[in-house]
Amino acid sequence: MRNSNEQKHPYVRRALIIALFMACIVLGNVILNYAFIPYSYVKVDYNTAYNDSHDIVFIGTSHGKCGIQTDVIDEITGSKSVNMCLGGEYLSDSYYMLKSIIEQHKPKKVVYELDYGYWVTNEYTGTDSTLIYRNMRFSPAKLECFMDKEVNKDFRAICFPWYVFRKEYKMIPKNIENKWNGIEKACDISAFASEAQYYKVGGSIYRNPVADSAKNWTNFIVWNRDKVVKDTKKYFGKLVKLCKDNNIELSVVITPVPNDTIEKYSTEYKDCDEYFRKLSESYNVDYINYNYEEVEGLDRSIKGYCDYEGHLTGENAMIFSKVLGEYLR
Amino acid sequence: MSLTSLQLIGLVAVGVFLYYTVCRKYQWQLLLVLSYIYYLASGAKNIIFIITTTVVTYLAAVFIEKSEQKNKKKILIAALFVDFGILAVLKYTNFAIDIINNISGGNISFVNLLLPLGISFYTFQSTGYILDVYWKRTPAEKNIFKLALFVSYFPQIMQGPISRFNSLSDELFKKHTAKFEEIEKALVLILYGLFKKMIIADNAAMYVNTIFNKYEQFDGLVIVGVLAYSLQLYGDFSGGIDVVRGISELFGVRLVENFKQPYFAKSITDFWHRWHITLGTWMKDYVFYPVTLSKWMGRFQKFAKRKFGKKLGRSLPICIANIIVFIVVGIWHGAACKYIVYGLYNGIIIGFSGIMADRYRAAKKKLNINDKSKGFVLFQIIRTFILVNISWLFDMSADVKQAFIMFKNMFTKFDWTPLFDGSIFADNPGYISYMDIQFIAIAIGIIVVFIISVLKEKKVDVAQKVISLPWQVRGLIYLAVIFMLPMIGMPPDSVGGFIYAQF
Repeated sequence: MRNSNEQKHPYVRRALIIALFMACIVLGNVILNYAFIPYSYVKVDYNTAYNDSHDIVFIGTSHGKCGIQTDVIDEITGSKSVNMCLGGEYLSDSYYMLKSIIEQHKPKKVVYELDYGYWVTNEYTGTDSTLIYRNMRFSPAKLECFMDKEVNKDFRAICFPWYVFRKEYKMIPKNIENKWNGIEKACDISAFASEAQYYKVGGSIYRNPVADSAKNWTNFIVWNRDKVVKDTKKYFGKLVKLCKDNNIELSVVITPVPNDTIEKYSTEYKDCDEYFRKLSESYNVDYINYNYEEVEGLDRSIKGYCDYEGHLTGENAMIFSKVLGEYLR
Repeated sequence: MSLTSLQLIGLVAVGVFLYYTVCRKYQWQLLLVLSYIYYLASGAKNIIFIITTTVVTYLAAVFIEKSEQKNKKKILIAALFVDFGILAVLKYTNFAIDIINNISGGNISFVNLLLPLGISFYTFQSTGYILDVYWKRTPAEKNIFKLALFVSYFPQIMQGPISRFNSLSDELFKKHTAKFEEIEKALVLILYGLFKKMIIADNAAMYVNTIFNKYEQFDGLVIVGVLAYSLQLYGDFSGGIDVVRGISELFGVRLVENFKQPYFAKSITDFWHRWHITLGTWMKDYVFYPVTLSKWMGRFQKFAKRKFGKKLGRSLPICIANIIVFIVVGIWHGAACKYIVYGLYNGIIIGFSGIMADRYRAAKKKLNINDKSKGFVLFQIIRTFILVNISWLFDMSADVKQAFIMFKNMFTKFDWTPLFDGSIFADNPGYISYMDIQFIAIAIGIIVVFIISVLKEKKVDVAQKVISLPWQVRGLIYLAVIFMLPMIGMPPDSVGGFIYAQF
């Protein structure tokens, strides 16, 4: 009986098998996404930015995340700010991130914390960019981001988002715990506290001092204007236009790096400063490079940093943020 | 648009749907539109070169067919000059400048030129077609759009195979109907290609890149590096070709095979009959035979026979033709001296084997060696594999000097400690914890590919066998492979895309 039914309806049987097969893929994916994709402060950042209106939005990289303390900025400027900077955030990520925020609330000012390392290296599909895209609220900006960036990526990064996190398989128990206990749902920021750092409301990271012996040059990228990636420059133009179209003031800020780093690569840092100063001028955008500005009280020795690349310790970041706040006021 | 991008998957999915439904009457026209969309996505500026090659090829073929004998040759030469000229200028100008600078001690600046997608592949395909028309092996195509599709057919333009008009046009222009089994078979081929690329090639690439980029630091690991490269290159290229063939078969268009278990080859000649087959046959038909049958080679043969005797006099011109062919193969692979050395190496071995063939036969007879015994066949396979691996040194090294240093280290230095203590990935610590998984992935990959290769060598249609399995079993196989690709495949950001996609 079953065989005769199958002969009569081969297409129905095939369709059912295909549907079952697809369901298995979806189910497998859901389970693996649950296990592999961590609860991250990117989600909290977005949550803060989407749910509240902010006067200042900081976008940029890890230098900005730990160097710009929004509580200090808010105190000095009397405004409300959110730090959307993130390690691994390329300018294209910043652009779409900001665009999706603007769709919810329009800030008065956007500060782009510029780390030249992201201008002279190609974008890659990393955990950060994946989290930036995944946590973005469904919106025209997200759709545009998909058509512009995601669609060009390896299909695994889109169809199997957990794939980007598979190397972190040791984190599976922690990830499951964060989700199972509702920590992620509640956007509980205590989950991000560790010996090395803690996350603050407003999106900044406060980094505890690191032993000098542990400070290294890993990940350090030397500036070379010939290596500037065309696409990044293109996104800078798009960022300027986005701000202009929305009547938002845009500033470019470079956070200070240790004196040792500046001395070792003095020619490159000077050239970098000249390049971005001219670029900002050509777009009529405010530009300030704190490597060459007086910052009262800032410890520019390696003691005030977590590494030679220039990630400020929390204490030093508070001092720097005061000066930045004065500038933004 | 990479072979693994979501963009391509979208293009193919929409294309296949339209191909068998709305555009059923206009199938080849749809393929042409898809091909140009694909090509435009690689850069709008590139389109001018492929259009030029198409128009020149079309006009040349039509005029060659119409013209009198004396004019045919002139048209042929002009067309070849334009088609190869575009390739030469775009791909080899900087190489020429480099050579001139080295010889003259000058300082001519390099020029920034576009390298259109698949230019080596479509140029060879187009010139092969013109020569076929000239030699009356195929009639000239009267419809320029049909020829445009032959030149630009999107699944194969990125990394081949290099098809002939005779065979591909039949496939492209006939009507195709959707058959579930055929589509499933095509998908199996795509999955197998992705498995080879992502599981074997990309995992092996992690070791290759480190060992070759830091060959002075890891000088005791040359053998590991070369073996890993032989896995990478095979997995990458043959995997890519399987994906290409699979995509094409989704449209019902069968492309020729480009690989036939190359590492089972018993000689270098046999290897080239199994590796990048379509390049080998192109070279045989359009370089080897014309050179061997040319007037000057005829004169040389007569001279050689007089000077060296009949046997050597007959095989010497073939030896020279082989060396010429492989120099061209080397140059085709890239604009660098190392590729010329790579070609020469292969050409000399093949040429020398030809000259020595009679002596080998005599020696085997004397030593009572049975050609067909399993032991001797195994010896031949291992010998060829070693020779091929030496040639990969030239292919993968940054330059000839590095290749020779690594060749020397291969026999003089052995230190595999970095492989076991994780120091090989010291600059990329994220991968240290992943090393065990990588080893397992490569091992699984090799076992699977080895079993499939043995079956294919025995003429078993593996894809057919797979789709004949009960649906529950094959469903599990497909699911396992689909989840393996992201689970243990390396991301392209760390290992690069398809190697031959740069050709």
